Parts: sequence; structure tokens; C-alpha cells
Amino acid sequence: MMNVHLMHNNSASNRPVLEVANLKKHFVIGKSFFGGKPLTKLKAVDGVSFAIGAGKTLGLVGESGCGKSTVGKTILRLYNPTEGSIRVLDQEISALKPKAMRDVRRSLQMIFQDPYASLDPQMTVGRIISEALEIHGLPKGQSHASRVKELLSLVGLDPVVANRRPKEFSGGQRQRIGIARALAVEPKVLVCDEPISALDVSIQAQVINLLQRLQDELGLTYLFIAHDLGVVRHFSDRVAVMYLGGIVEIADRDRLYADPLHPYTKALLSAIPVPDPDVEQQRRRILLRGELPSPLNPPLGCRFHTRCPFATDRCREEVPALVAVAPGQEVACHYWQELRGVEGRPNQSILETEK
Amino acid sequence: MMNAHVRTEASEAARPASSLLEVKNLTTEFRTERGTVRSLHSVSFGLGEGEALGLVGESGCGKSVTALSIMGLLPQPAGRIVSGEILFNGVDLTKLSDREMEAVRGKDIALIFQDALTSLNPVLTIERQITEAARRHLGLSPAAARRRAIEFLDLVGIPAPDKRISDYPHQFSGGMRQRVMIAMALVCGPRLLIADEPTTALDVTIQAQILELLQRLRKELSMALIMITHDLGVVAGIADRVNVMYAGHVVETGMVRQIFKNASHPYTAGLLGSIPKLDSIRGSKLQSIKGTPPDLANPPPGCPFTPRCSHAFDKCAEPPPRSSPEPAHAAECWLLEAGVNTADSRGLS
Repeated sequence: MMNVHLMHNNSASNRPVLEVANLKKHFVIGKSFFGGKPLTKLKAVDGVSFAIGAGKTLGLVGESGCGKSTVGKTILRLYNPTEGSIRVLDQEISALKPKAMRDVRRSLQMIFQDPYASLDPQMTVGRIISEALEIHGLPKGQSHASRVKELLSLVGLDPVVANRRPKEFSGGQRQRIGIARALAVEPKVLVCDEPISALDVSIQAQVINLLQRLQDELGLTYLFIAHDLGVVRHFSDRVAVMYLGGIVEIADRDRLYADPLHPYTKALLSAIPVPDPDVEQQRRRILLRGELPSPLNPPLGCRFHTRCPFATDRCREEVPALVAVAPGQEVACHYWQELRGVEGRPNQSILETEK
Repeated sequence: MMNAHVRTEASEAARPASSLLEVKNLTTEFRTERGTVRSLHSVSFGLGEGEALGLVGESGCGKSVTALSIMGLLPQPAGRIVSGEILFNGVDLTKLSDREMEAVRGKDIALIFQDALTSLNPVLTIERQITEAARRHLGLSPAAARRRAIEFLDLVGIPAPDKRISDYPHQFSGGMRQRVMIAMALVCGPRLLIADEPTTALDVTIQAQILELLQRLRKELSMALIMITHDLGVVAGIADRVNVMYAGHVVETGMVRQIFKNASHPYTAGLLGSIPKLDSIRGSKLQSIKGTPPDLANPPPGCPFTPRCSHAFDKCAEPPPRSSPEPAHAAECWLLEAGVNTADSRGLS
């Protein structure tokens, strides 16, 4: 039953290692008192599609509440998807039972944001890592200890630390332990959920360098979820921008940063503070009005229209589809052609008609 | 040209002409279970009227403790100022009584925090919270205080301020709460606003709004600003001058362009190298700094950055002098004393 493997004729190396199609995750918020119909649906992820090739990195960016972490957790099946397909190494995993999912997780692992909360404080580091080996039924005994040492050196820690507990480590070192644990089962795909946002700048750079080295050495495929567009640019081959549960633009890294087409991508890029006073003093930020609408009650039509400086009546009614507009670039905006090269100049008439 | 450095006394290097705030040799300690921790080591800097100073550094470097020391808000009884002066308009704040300090706090110097939700009282309306300061410090009548509060809510960009003033903090979104907190801080017309990581909890598009707002208010109200942040991008955009802090020391100070274009301390250079550049090549290695910041309860002798510094040599076991490679620019590093420019050599290490 596990071998739902469908090897197609195309050469295996070109096929995506992780492929997500029309993925949806809706949470039901509250039930009526008598247990009747669910009251509200929170559409955290509402129709997301992308594919990542072997050894590549897709950066998934967006602001808090856009659904990027939910995408990661749903791929790991920490949440059950409401709809859509998730394929890992050509195996459809969206409906697998927990036991079958455990086998899949040998190829699919996750690194979490908070290195303080994701390691059991009672266990030694060696135990934390060897537990992963046991759960996946990997050979017991002496070989565990040597594998733990090997993994600790792989992530740049001294193997003697295996006897210590998480509290004796700094944030960056704990993140290394989390990475060692994820790598214990020799996964092919790593979902990295904001792996560096809790760390100081100088430590962030260490972890980024480590993740890059591991990708080169082990041929890992990454889904890199982050809100920091500078880091994502440094790290990714392709970048997908999410807004309120959907991807508004996805493109090869250089294309996205050089020629962003969606007004939200443009605003997001213009909002990143650049550590260069000359750039900062000359640049004009595209200031978006207002804040992210509640995903409980998302706007009709284009999700972005309430904050978009260019929104028209069409945007308020018709949902724009994500369409390919250039090789390797897809965008979900009715007016991407008209807006090409246009900076985000606020449209006064729109500013006035909406509050 | 590299030898053109001049040794100067600690506070002379970058002092602006008219000084609003003058911090001199400020040393602050905390009593902890693990003994006494020195969070600030003889920190000195000045701030002119209307000037914006960035305090940057990583967690534990002492940037927030600097703010709390100035405000007289060190946690009691654990924290205390051991020595030094904080001159505000010539008055030493460390000598003021609690009562006298209360009159300064909120009126002449205001502080805003990262987390607006915990700094606002959840059970009081915005009106109560903003007018309280205006009535106390400015002696306004309730009606006048309300008018002033509405005016400031409008100034910080709260739509329909005359209605929203009756709302409670939870009825505002994160970015709007930050605006309310800024209005509250500014309502008494302070000469100095200290903003401690004011945008760290916010999303990048909301951060952009708040940064624009702070820039605009600083000019309109001609108020001095101390911006505390770990984000070098934020500092590059808002600060006139920058202090780089490490383990309780101001390791480098200078005009914003000097810090970003001609960093003299290896820590500053390392910090800048740790940030992915916009033109970086995919897969290129970041110039990270090895190791982790020192344990403040047990700091290394001499320069605190020595264990992580790729330029360290035997001299570094002694406290480095402050050297000034150019006017307004100074750093505490033995390399500068020896006439070596870190900015030139950092690519080689």
C-alpha cells in the first residue's frame, strides 16, 4: 500500500520532489452550542500550488497570518488538508493514515522557528537525536551513539555535547540541534519554518551558512518559510509570495526581485529596510494603507484589493487567477501588464472611496 | 592615511554642538543569582536637539538597559547605576529623586516599547490613558486634554480619532496600537523620544508605515530620537548617528554613513557582513561572526569581542582605547590604535 509510486517516463531527476496542488486548509472556528453546523471557517490556506525540484529551494514569504506556516504544517500533515494534493517523491500523501505518514516523514522533515520550545528540556541532546532514529526503526545500540556524534559534527557542534541538555545551549546552538534531529533520518525534503527569525543577526548568518552547506553536501530540497525577504533572496532558487491564504506571485528569485509584477510584491520589496544609508535616503517606500484583513472575513474578489493602490471595481468582484506571464513567473493580478514598471503611486480617488 | 587616527577622550569624538543629552561613563549593574552582572561598561555618548541616534546590537548588548537607565526605570532592586552621569539639559538625572524623575518621564523624555499591548492598560479606554499624562504634566482641563489627545491621535494617523478615542486597546490592530502608544508618548511634547524596538513585532509593510510616521513626527515636532533596534536596515533609514553596542560597551560610534561605509570595529564589520546583500549571489557564503556573545556574568578580559574576532592578537587581552579614525567617528579597538583599518582588511580574513 505504501508503494503508490507511479514512476513516469520522464527522467526521475526532472520531476519535482515536492509538489503541492490546490492545497486548502480551512479551520472551523467554534461550533454552535447544540453541535449543529460549524459557525465560521477560517480559510488559512485557500488553493496553493507549487513544485520544488530536487536540491532546490523555494522561499515562501508573506506577513503574519498569510498562511505560510500553515502550508508547511499541512505538508507535514501536522494538519490534515481540507482539499488538494501533496506529492512527495511522487507519492500522494494528502490522505495517508498516520502509520503510513510516519514512513513518509523519513523523507520529509521540519525545522521549527523556536529552538527553545521545540526541544524537550528533560532529554539530553543525544537522546533527542537518537529518539528520532528509534521512532523510525533505525538500527539500535552502538550504531545510534556513533550516528548521533556524526550528526552533531555535521551541524558544527562538538560531539561531546551529546550528554548535555538543551538549556545549556544558546539559541543558535539549539537550532543546530533541531537541524541534527531533522537530519537523523536522512530526509530528502526539509520544511524550514522561520528557522532563523528567533536568532540574533550574527547567529542567523551562521545558521544560513549551515543550511546552505547541508544542501550542497546532502542534496536536500528546501521549502524555506520566512518573512525576511532579504534572507529569502539570499537562500532561494524560486520565491512564492503569499497574501491571505493564496499565492499572489511566484517567480525565479532574480526575476521576482528585479521585476516584481504584483502590487503586493512591489510594496513588500519596497518596505524592506536596507542596511545602506544611501539607498534608504533615496528610496521611496510604497506605503500600503491599512493592515491585513481578517482571514475569517476575507475581501471578495482579489484578496488584496482593500490595500491595493490600483484597485478597481473589477478587483472588488472578480478573483484574479495565478497565470504564467513570463518563463518561470506567475502572477495573480488583473492589471499586471498595465502596472508593469509602475511604482506604487497611491491613487487618491481610491483612497477616498474607501476607509 | 590610515595613520591619521587621533586618540581622544571618551566623549569628545562625536559630540554634537548643542547637547540635549549627555551620557558620561555610565556603568549599570544587575544583581542576579549568578552574581553581579555588569550590563553597561562606562558608556558615553551625546545627543543634540532634534538629532536621531541609533543604538544597535544583539540581545544582551545593553541597548535596552541604556534606555532604562536614562528613564530611571531599571528594575528594582536588582538593577542600579553604579557610576556615571546622565545630563539632560544640563541636569544629572541620576541625582533626581523619584518624584523629580516622574516629572521628567513622560513630559520631557518619553519611551515607547516593542510590545504596545503590554504597555497599554487593557481595561481603560484610550482616552483615559492619553489624557492622564496630558492632565498631569500639562495641567490641562479634562476637555482640553481630550482635545489634545484627539489632535495627537489624528497626528499619528488614527482614522476617526474623535470616535476611536473611546475604544479599548484590544479594539485596535497591532500597527494601530503602536500608533496609539506613540500618540500617548508624544502628547506632552517631549524633547526626546526613546523608541525601544518599536517595529520589531510588526510585519514589514506595517513597519514601513510606523518608520515613516516616526520620521515625519521627528521633523514636525523637532524632537530628538533614540532608536534602539537590532535591525541595521531600520537604523540606516532613520538615524543621523549610530552607536554600535557589544556586551555593554559602545564599541563604535559615528555618523550613519561612517558606520555603514567605513566600519572600523571588527564587530560592526561582522554584523554588516552577516546580512544578506541585495546583490548577493545565490548560495554565496555570508560573512558570519563565529561563536556567541560572551556571558556577561563572566566576560573575557580586555576587549569583549576578542573570543569571536578574527583579527584578535595579544594586545586584545587589555581594554582597548577609543581611537578616532576621522572626525565624529570613534571605535574601541586595538587595531585602530595600531593603525590598521578593519574595513580594508575584513575581506581578507
